[in-house]
Amino acid sequence: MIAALCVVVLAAILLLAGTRLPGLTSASDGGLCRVVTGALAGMVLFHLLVTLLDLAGLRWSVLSLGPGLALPVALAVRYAPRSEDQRRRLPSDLGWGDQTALLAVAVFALVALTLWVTTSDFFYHWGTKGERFFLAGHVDYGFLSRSWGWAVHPDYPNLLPELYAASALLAGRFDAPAQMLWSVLFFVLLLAAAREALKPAEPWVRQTGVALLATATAAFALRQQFAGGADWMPALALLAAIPALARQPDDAGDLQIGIAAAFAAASKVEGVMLAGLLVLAQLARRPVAGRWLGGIRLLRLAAPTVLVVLPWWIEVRRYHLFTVLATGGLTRERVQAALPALLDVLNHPVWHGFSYAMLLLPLLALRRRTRPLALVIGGQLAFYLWIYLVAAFDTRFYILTSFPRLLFHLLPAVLVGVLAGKSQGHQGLQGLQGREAADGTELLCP
Amino acid sequence: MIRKLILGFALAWAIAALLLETGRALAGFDDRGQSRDEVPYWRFGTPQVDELDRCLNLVRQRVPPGRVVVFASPADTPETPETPDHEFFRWRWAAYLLPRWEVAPLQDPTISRTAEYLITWRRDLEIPRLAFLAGDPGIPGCRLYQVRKAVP
Repeated sequence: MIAALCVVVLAAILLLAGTRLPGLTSASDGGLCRVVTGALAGMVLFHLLVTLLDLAGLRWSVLSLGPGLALPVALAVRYAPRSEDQRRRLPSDLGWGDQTALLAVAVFALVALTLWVTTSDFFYHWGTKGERFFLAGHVDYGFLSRSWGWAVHPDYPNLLPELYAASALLAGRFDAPAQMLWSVLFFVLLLAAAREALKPAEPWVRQTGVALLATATAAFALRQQFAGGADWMPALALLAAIPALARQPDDAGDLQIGIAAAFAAASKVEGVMLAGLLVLAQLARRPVAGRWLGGIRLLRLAAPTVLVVLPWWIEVRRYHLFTVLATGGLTRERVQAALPALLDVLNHPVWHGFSYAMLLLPLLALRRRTRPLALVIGGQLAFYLWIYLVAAFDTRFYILTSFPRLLFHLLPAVLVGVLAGKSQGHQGLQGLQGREAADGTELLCP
Repeated sequence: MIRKLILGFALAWAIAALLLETGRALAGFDDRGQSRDEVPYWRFGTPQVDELDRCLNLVRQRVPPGRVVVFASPADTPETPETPDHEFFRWRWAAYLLPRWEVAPLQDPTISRTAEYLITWRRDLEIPRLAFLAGDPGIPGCRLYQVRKAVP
């Protein structure tokens, strides 16, 4: 119970830290956008802090992490101009779809806390690394660089094990059930991001969309044993980026994309690719104001990802942690093995048929507003397919054992993108913002 | 109208899927004591994991934290080509359950130099360098050894 409380407390601190940062939202963004982007920013900030402590040779502790997180927040509160968007309101008009979604989250959370639906990757590497880092008080490169360290994917970015370790530090011990709450948190943020992205939709579509995403995700997560893993994080980063990708680039949108990209890059190796695609998709578009490739714009978009990727890359090189992916080149045999395997994944029982929503991806490319999202999802999908086609593994086995899970990075965004994109023709973001403000049906954002 | 019908049907389908999976998960959890799953499908709370955890108590009780402990379990054999890597998965479970020790696989090429202790689970090993320390008679093949230094 104490350990679970520590996870909640740490998550709240990171949320608070992230939402205090200036310039995260634009006038058209709702309170949920501030919460989601703030939470991602808080976690990225936390990752940068522990990276800095590691570089300085300082052991993680409540004493080193506390002031480390408090300092930038205090500076932001003291010196950053306080704008109206910091008092953005959260929706209080919870509809039937929101309530269904909360019920789905509760069901997943209760089962996840039993550890019965914990992913095997939790004890193969995510959880093992989290506990080792907790015991060591830093990212334990000695452990990762052991000759048998290849089994824990030592070259993966470490945000998730760092979160595990930090909440264990607060609690004084590593408690596996409590760590499942991070997956629950990512699930909640995923739904919050989806609701924000669906804000322009008709209320019925918005409620159905949120409920559909929540129930389908919970069903998948229970069947796939999805608790405790990092695959929630790229999916969350992608969903969090949708509102910014759907409107003409502005300063806040650039920063939102930059933070979502950094969060993706800190979560998984695949996330580094996703980060690059997100930044490129935003950079390819001319901003509302300012120079297209201005220094400040580049800083907002790319600096968070560079700050995350550069130290990771240096340490991985320094300790020779890259687990080389054996490539065998593109061959006819691999293509012939891959196609039926991909079809089998679409029919995989873990997805209950919702995997076929990937076939809606071309619809995103048809609409101007969702075209950047289509580019990102298409690029990431092409990246996965390319790896499958050139990796010198049993192609069919490789696809069947990993692609059902990797599809989760993309499917929620496809679903939300299709629903939001369809609706944006009916109602502009600004119009909805105005209507909600007039209704006065909102709560103050933290 | 057609869009609402499609969305409504998809939602009904997803709710049915969630009910099905919740029931399946809870039934599996209730029956976890009877689980006979192979190691790739082991979960927390199943008899296999509990037995392995009990066996690893030998390490917790007798080996100082931080030492290199080799874990050996039944080897994957060519007779079971459909179940390769079981030894690997058992080793990963052991490593998770012993976070304070450096748990190494028997197959690691550096192990003859780095090994300090060795624990077996459901496996008998005859290696001259092993000095028997302790065993758990309630668990087949659960023995802890100290590894003698290799003679140069």
